[in-house]
Amino acid sequence: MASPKKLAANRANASAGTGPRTVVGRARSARNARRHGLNIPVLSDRWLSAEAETLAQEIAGLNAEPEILHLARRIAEAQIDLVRVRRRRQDLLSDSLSINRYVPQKLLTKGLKFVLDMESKPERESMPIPSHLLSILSPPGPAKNFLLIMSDLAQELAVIDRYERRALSRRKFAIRAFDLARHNAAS
Amino acid sequence: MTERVRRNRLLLPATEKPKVSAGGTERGKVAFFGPAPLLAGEDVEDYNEFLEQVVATVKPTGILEEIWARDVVYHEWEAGRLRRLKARLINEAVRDLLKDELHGCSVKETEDVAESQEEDDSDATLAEDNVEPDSSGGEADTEEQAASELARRWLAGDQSATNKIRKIFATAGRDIEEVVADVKTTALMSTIEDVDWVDRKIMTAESCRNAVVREVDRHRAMLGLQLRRPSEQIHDAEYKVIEDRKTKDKLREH
Repeated sequence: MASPKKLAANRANASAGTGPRTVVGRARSARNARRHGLNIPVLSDRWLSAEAETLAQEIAGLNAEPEILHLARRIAEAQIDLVRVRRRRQDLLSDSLSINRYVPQKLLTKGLKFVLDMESKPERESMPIPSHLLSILSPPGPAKNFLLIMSDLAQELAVIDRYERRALSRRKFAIRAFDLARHNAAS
Repeated sequence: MTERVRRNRLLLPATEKPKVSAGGTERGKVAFFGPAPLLAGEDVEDYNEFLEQVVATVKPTGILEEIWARDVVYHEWEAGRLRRLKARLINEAVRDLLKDELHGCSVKETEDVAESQEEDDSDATLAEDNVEPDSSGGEADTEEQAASELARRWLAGDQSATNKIRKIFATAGRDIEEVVADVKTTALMSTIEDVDWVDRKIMTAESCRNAVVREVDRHRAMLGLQLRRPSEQIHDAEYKVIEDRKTKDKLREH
């Protein structure tokens, strides 16, 4: 157990740390861990939870039993989550596809490195451009361009796909439970 | 829900923003399905027409079936996009290889073709492809551009371009059919990895669509059971068991 004197010294030293001090800086650093926001539950978002509730009411119908309404909420939550995930994928693809002449990130880095290396060499005039960098100069066709974008976004798209599969699975089981509950109530 | 409201909800354009009403109801309804999954160059009218056809076939009853109908369209649209991508990938490779063949075949002939094309409508096609005519560039660039343009026209099924290519190859002592067969084989081999990737994506989209269809079947079977039970009860109530009097009397006698 640290002594009170040591604790006070720790606190004083911590307050002199170099973390963000302004409100804006603190707000920004609070979002450091945020990448896509898809793991935030729908019900934590005020707008999305309102949409989920409206959808749940529509699924359950008028004068629904509390149990049916509860199950309808599970479906609605998964559906709104699915819409959010798909919207994210579409935004990502649309932003990238708006670039007519896309150069993959890896190739661009290699090209820049080559140019910087060349600058420092006296024989730069006679240096041939490596064949793998020539593709930067010749633009690919639209289909190849699309594939290049997809391969560059593969990691992000894989994450989004995983969230989509989860949302779809949750919705499927929620609907099955809902159907069963309604079937039991009817019989 | 009236037919008009249902139609409006299902056919909302991708670009249309949700309208916020006092209670936020309209906004909520639009948010249930999400925007149409359209990318640059895809037509919202085509998407809506496809959606309309699916809705007319499936005839969704209730919001859950509407969601599924949208899902089927979503996956099918994606699969269609990938199928088009596959065809374009191979076509692009064929075009590039044919361009190389033309470029290396006969410089003079290709130049002649380029000149004759310029007379025709090269301005329009160059503007369409955002290729600026190079006034200061060397002969090689012009030659390559002409070869590229000719290959593009041939791919589009232009008969005059086919005839010109036939002439160019004949001058070089080659048969167009053989060259095209070689080009297509090389194009397929060079794109095989990409095509394989696209095929796998198509399979994923199709399996997702099939999973949705299975869920609709299961849901409808369940709904059918629910609807059958009350109707069976009604049928049961309509009929009474009428006893056979003769048999009854005989049984009493014994």
